Amino acid sequence: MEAVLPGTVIGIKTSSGVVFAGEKRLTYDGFILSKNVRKLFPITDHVAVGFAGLTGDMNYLYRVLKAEAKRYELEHGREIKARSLAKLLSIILYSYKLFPMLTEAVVGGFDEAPSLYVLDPVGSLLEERYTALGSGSQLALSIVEQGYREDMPLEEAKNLALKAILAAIERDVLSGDGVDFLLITREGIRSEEYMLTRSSS
Amino acid sequence: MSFGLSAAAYDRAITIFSPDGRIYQVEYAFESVRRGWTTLGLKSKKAAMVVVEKKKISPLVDENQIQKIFKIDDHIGSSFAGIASDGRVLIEYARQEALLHRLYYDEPAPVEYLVKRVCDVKQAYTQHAGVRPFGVAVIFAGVDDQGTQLYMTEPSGRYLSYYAVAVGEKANVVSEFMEKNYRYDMDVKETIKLGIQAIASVIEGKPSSELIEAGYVDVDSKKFVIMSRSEIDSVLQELAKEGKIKL
Repeated sequence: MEAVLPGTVIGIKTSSGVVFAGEKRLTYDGFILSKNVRKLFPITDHVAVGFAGLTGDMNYLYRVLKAEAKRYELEHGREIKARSLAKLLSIILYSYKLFPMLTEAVVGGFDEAPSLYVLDPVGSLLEERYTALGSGSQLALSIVEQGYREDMPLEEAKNLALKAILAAIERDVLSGDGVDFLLITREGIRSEEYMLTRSSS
Repeated sequence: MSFGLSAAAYDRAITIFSPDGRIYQVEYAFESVRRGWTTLGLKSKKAAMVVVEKKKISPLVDENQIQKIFKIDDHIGSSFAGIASDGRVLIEYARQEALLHRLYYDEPAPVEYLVKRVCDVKQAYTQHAGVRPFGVAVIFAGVDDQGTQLYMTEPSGRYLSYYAVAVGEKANVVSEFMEKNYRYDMDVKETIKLGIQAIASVIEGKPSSELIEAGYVDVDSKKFVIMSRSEIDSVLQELAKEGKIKL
């Protein structure tokens, strides 16, 4: 059986942009180590990445991608596209094939058009319209699937993502405590953060 | 050494500057380029191309098999003047870099990116001990998301972007021709014709597709194609009909 990666992260692509949503819980063997962890990361002004899995692995991958994106920008004179960043991440993940990063990743962005890609721990790369990662993914994905329309306004996609994350938080012990959003449009990335309990700051 | 006493010792190792700041071995490498087969690159709004003059080496050489225009990737072609083996090695390197770019980023390499990689190698060979500089000028013609691109790389590792550039034996004549006849707003056909006319006009004797090789890439297809003998022949025929060349 495949190891279940803790956490829940959602990516939804619509015709007007991409929505990322993720909860904020960090668990360690049944203990909640933190209630305020970020699992969604902007990489450039128009491309972001989200992870479910081990926090150490996702922070490492974030630092590598951030550096690679900067290097790409210096070499090419423009921002890296989501497709290129996803391909690069796929190669990085595959290079750890024998001792893999315990993460699933979603890469999304708005360059020429909205785009969304999903990667498994060893880097298989799939293009999707919507996706959910982590231990709460099955609960979340069933909600997203029911409400998804390609032409839905971004605000509606955000509410759908919120509904799906809350459903995962409700029944998945490894997810909880708050919700993060990244809303990616042609104009750039907007970030929002919500805490669920008073003691979770 | 044919220099005076003061200059004599400064070309024994390439890593040594002469007192006036020159590196003789790098300058000699330019001499290899100057003696090379005439090679022209040009770009217009709609297309970029490279054209070369092929010379008769010996009646026993199968000249049909000599290749002077090289496809680097779908969207980039190139040619060079100078030491052919040096050129071949750099072409191989450029191809590898172009493939790696596709592998890492899932998109074609920008032309300047590739030119920069090749010039990094050229530069290293003007500085490291125990090596000699590359005796070639490589011309890259391609199309990327910035439009048509044309670069010429020098043995020193310097590169510049051009509208039209000629290297090799008759570079001066071809450059003069381009200065007189070049326009940026040419269409694909006009670009190809001008390029072939320029090289045809420096060929000693009768120009023919046996003595000319050409390749081009246009902004719509973004595919570099090496022209066939018959394609070049028909362009030559057209040019002859218009009285621009004599066949």
